[in-house]
Amino acid sequence: MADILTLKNITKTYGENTKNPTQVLFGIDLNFEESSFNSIIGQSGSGKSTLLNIIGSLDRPSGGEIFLSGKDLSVFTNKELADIRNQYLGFIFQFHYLLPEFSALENVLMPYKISKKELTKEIEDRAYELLELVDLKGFENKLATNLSGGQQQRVAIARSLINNPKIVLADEPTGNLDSDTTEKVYNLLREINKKFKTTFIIITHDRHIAEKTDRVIEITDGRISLDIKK
Amino acid sequence: MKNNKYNEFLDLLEKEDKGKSLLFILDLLNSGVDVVTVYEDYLIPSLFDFKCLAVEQEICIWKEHTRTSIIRTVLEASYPYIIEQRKKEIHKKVIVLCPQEEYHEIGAIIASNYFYLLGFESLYIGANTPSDDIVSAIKILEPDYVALSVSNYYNLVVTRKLTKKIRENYPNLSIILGGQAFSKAESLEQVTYNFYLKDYKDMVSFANEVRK
Repeated sequence: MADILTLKNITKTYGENTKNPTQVLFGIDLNFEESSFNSIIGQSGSGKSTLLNIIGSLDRPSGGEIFLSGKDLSVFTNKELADIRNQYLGFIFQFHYLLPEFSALENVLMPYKISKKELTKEIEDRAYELLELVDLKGFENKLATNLSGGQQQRVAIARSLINNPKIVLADEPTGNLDSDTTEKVYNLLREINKKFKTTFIIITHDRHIAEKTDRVIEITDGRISLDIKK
Repeated sequence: MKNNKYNEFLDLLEKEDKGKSLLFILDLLNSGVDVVTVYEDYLIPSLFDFKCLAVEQEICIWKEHTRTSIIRTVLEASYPYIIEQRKKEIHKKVIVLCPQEEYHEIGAIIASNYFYLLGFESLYIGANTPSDDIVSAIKILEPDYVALSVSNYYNLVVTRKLTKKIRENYPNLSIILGGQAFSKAESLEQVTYNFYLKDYKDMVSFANEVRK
């Protein structure tokens, strides 16, 4: 498989122009293959979330290059990066960040609405399909606040897929869930990976999730300390 | 070696017949088949020769655990033959164990039995051994080698830290690695070790080198 994402010598320093700059990433080199299912592990403060934010273009590196589907992200403006993010990337976080005053269906459609494209029947059908995929058929019109924690996270997963992203970046997607729901969410992510060939990069503390991924990358003190494939 | 006798043994395992499986292997050993042949041609292949029908998928782990349990009993029962067929003593001590969170111990038990058979003083410590306890065991037992058996590739995370810790505390102690987790060269490259022994053949070569 070809690489969909390449990181070359990525560094990140916070407070670069202050008296006490803090470097959190040191020369990270990584490639991710299309359709691969990866996890990133590491202790709190190791730099893994910073790395995911940089991969997701939510933050810019202090040094190094990122190529997404062959595009060098460093040359784009923030506005252009936002468009690329919308086109290529889906995000799942530990907290679902659903908008409470909207229904499950409306939340799933939210990234599309933000893109200000016309809402077509095709897109609406896709939102219904995605909710069915995450086993929430019949819950489309329920307000987010009337769903359980596991159901809310599944809505968030459906939302991450609405723009048909090439890569889904997940930061502790099961960190807030009990073990049974964690297993269901993992199975769902795997199913999506197989069905849509979506590349997954999952940050997790949960060894039961990490050991089921096809590749485990461990970050220690801002450096890759282990990179193993099944 | 997929011979008729092996298939006969596999049938007994498929039926989860612990008693008959054990008697089958004891009959082989009593008839003069050497213990290495029994391990290599019967016990080890049977751990991989596993039928898991799609309709049975939900019970496959249960079946696998049952298979493991039967093989563990057979391995214990084979120990008198290991003692009987042991090669000349090497006067080197090896402790064998699985690191923390590694519960697949059959490979480690087989490796420990093989080490003893080949003349080493061998002590099997167990599965899922906490890293601090491993360091304590090394301090008390003063082995010449520590052998780590790792099956689940995720356990390379803890193995990397453990081998680093062993090397820091006991720089002269040799670390031996084995198990399916190291089947890829890139996995080995990321762990501190002295010897990687893939199978019995590797162990024989290693023992011959140590004897020199």
